[in-house]
Amino acid sequence: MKYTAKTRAIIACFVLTTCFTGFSARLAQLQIAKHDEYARLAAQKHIAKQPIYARRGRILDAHGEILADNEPLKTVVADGSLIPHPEKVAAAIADLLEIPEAELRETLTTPRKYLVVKAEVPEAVASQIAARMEQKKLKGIYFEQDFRRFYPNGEMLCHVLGCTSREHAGVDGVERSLDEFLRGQEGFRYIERDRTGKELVPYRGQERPARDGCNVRLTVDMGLQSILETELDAAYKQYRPGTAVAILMEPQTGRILAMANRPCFDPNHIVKDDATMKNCAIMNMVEPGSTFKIVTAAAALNDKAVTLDTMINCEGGRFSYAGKVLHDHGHGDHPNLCVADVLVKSSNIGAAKLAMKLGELRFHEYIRSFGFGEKTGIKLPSEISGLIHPPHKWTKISITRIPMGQGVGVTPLQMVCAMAAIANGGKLMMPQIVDTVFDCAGKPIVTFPPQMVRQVVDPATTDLVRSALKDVVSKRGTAVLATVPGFTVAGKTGTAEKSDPHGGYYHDRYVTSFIGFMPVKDPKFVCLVMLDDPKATAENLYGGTIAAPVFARVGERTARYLNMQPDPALLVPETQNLAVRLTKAGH
Amino acid sequence: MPRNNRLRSSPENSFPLKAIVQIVVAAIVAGGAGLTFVQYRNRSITSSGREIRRLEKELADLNNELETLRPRISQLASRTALQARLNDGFIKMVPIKQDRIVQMSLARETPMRTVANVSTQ
Repeated sequence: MKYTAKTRAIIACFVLTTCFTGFSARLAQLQIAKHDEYARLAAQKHIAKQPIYARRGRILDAHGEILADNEPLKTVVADGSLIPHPEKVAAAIADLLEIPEAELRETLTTPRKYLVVKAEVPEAVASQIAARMEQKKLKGIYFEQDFRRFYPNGEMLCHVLGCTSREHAGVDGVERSLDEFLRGQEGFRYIERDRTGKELVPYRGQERPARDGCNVRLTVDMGLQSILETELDAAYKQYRPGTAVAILMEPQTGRILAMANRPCFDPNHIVKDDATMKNCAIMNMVEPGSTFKIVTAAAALNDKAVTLDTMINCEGGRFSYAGKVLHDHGHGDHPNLCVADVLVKSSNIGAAKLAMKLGELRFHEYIRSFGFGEKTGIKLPSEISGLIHPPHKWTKISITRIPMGQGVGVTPLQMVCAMAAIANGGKLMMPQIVDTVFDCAGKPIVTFPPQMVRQVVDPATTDLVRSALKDVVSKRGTAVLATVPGFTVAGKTGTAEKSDPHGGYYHDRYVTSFIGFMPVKDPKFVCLVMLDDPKATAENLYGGTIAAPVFARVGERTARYLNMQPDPALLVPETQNLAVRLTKAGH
Repeated sequence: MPRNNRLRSSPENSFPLKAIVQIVVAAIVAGGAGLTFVQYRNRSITSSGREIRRLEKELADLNNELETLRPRISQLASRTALQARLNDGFIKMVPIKQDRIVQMSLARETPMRTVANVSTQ
C-alpha cells in the first residue's frame, strides 16, 4: 500500500500532534494540578529558614560596669548528604573539634541533612575548621551562631545576677526576673540553596531582622559590692557559719547598693541543683532575735503608749509570764530600764512589756505595717514572704517572745527595709535592685523610680528610736564594736537562738546579726550583717562581737568610697584607738 | 527518467529550503541572543550574590571578632581580675595610710569649677 505525500504528511502531523498533546497534558498536570505539591517538595529541598541570632541584653552596675555579657560561639553542624567521604572530613577537622577521628568518622557517616557535631565551639576554632575545609575542598560542614553567657566578675554578685540555661533562658536572679527584657527576639530569613548547598543570595525570601535584648542597669554599685563581699568573706572564713548575708541599702530610696551571700557560686560554671545558688537575703526565713526590738519600740512610741523616758520594770532579769520564765541576759542588775535603755541593753523583758502595753492586735498591725509577712516586691525571683502568725493563732507567751524576735520568720531583706524605715523618717520603701532598662539604641524604656509602700510610723517616732539606737553603738550599748571613727552610727545587735527542726531551740547555736545605719543625722546607707550559726567561743557568740565589727569595717570603707564627710569631733582618741585595735585584731 | 523529471518539477514536492534555513538561522540567532542574555544576567546575579555573601561574611566576621573581644576586655578589666593582679603583685599599688588622707570640705556657696568653665569675656 502506497501513501501519497499528503497522506504521509497528515499521518506525521497526527502523530506529532498526539505526542505534543500528551506532553501538554502532562505539563498541565505538573504545572497546574500538582503545582502545590511539587512547589512544596522543591521548597523542602532548596528553601530553608535561616535564623538570625539575637544578642541577649547586658547587665550593668549603677556606673555602667559590665556584669553579664555574651561570648559568641559556634555550633558545628554537618549535612551528611553532602559528605561523600566522611573519612576525609574526619581526618581534616577531628583534632580541631577535639573528637577522636574514628568517632567523628562514624558520626559523619549518615544520610541525615542536619546533625549537630559539637556545640559551644570558640569562634577561633570555627574559623580554623572553615579554612581547613576550604583548603581541602571539602563540603558538608557548616556553622550556626550561638553564644554563652559570661560573667566577668565570677562569684561576685552571683545571687543577684543569677544564670541562664543552655537554651539561654533566665534561670535565676535578675537573668530570670528580667528575662522578657534581656531575651530579645531572634529574626529569620528564607533562603534558597543550589544543588551544592550554597545560598542563592538573589533569591532570598522574606526576612525579619533580629531584635537584640535590652540592657539592664542595676542599682548595685560594684565598688560597694566589692567592699561588702571582701568583708563578708573574711567573716565567713573566720567564723565558718552555715550561711552569711550582708545587704547595703540606701534608706531614702530603697535602692540596693550591694547584696552578698555566702556560700556562693560561679555563674560561669553552673552545677545542677547547687544549694549554694540560694539567695539567702530573700529566701532564708530566720528568727531575727533582738534586731526585731526596733519594731517593738517604734510601735510603742508611735502609739504614745510610752515615751523614751518611761521606766519599764525589768523584773530583775527574770519575768514569769503564762507559766514560762523570760530571762534577760546579763542585765539582772538593772531592775528598771527606760525605753531607750531597753534597746541599748537589749532587754527581752523590756521589749515584752512594751508589746504588752500595745496589745496583741495593735502589735500585730505594726509588725505587718513594717512589711513583715509579705514580699518586699524586689525584682528578684523566689522571694519568700516570711511567717507572721495572726494574733488568733498566738500562744499565751507569744506576746512576750515575738517582741524580742522569736516566733516570727523574716527574711534579711525585710529587716533591712524595716531599719530603713526607721532611718528615713518612717517610710517603708520598696527595695529596688533594677534601675533602668535600655533598648539596643541606649534609650531608656523602663525606669524604676523609688516607691514608697506606706508611712509606717511618724518621723518624730523615728527620731526617738534613732537616738536610742545611736546609744546602742556606744560603750553603754551592745554594739561598741560597730563604731566607725568620725561618724555617728545607729544600730541594733541580734543574737537569736537557732530553732531546732525537731522542736525548741538549740542553746549553743545562734543567728548573730547587726543592722545599722550612718550617719545618724542624714543616713546614707543601712547595712545588715547576719551570720547563721557562726563557730566561736561561747563568750564571743553575740551579734555585737561577731557581726558588729564587720559592719564597722564595711561602714568605714563605704564612708570613704562615698566620700562622706567625717565629723572631726568624733575622731576622738578613744575611737581612733578602737579603730587601731580593730585593725590590729585583723578584722 | 521522464518520471523522475516529473517528480522534481512537481510543485507538490517543492521544499522551501531557503525559507526554512532563514527561519532556523533567525531562531538560532534569537535563541542564542536570548540564552546569552540569560547567561549574562545569571552570571551578574550570581557574582553580585557572591559579592553580597562575601561582604556579609566579612561584616559578620568583624562583628564576631568584636563580640569575642568585648567579653575578653570585660574579663580583663573586671574588678575580680584586677584584684587578682593586685594580689599577685603585677600591679604595684601602695596603700594610702590613714594619716596621709586629707578630707577637703568645700564651701557650698562656691562650687568647684574647672578653669575652662570660667568665662574669659
